[in-house]
Amino acid sequence: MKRKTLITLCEWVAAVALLFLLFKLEVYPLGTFRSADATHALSERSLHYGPSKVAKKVTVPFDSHQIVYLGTYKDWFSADLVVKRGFGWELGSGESGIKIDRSKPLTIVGE
Amino acid sequence: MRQLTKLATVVRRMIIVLAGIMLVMWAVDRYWPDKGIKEYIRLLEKDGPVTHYDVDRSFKIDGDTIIVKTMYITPTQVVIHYKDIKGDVGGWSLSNNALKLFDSKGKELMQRSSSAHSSPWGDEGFLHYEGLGNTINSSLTIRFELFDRNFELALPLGKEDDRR
Repeated sequence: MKRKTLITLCEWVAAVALLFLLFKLEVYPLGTFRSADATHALSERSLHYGPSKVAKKVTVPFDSHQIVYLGTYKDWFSADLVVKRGFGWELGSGESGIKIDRSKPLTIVGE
Repeated sequence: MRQLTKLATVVRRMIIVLAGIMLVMWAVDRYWPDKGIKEYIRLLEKDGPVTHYDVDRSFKIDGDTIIVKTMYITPTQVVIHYKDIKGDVGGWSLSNNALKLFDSKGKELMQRSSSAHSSPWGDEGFLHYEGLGNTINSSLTIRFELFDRNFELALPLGKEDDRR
């Protein structure tokens, strides 16, 4: 094999190996490739809450790139927002894990 | 054909350089040891003598590894240096209210402030709790409490080996 061909081959192996490493370590400069459901699950897991039972998945009426997951988990309820950016979905904001006041018919927050 | 070969060379080398830079940035962010610790200790020394305990104990919650690295006790405060390595990239940072500190009589030491450096792969920071005052404690307990997740670590204060 010619020396130049060998160098080219080594460079291709290095390029593919580096791309594989970036993918494996989830180093994505252009955002993630996660689905909305997977992002919601990540949001709850990283908050050390849930997984909640999703009562309703609401696409925001004025922006289809935002979804709110309304759910309950044991003694808490939550409204978790995920937002579409680039190729995948990312964490938005929202309320996770508000204690349900069982003594009242309706628990109100943010009074 | 020659132009195609040239283009392939440019693409290949760009991948190597850019991917290499991103991986180095990732590694620095994840493994760079103890950013700004010396400055922090200097600030703590303004309180008076600082007793330094190498704790270096960890526990796993929801795939995340939470490491209690060091504890500093000054005449006015107790400071915990922690690190959170995320199991999944890109989640929320660790809530500073998650780690509560108790003295050996079970009294909670109130958290006064916190600071942290966060990245998609985890976060590292300091939690400042009220001081022990004149009470004598054989150990402190750090308790992780969030929703239904709980974990407890005893932090003995007597071991001379851990003290610096």
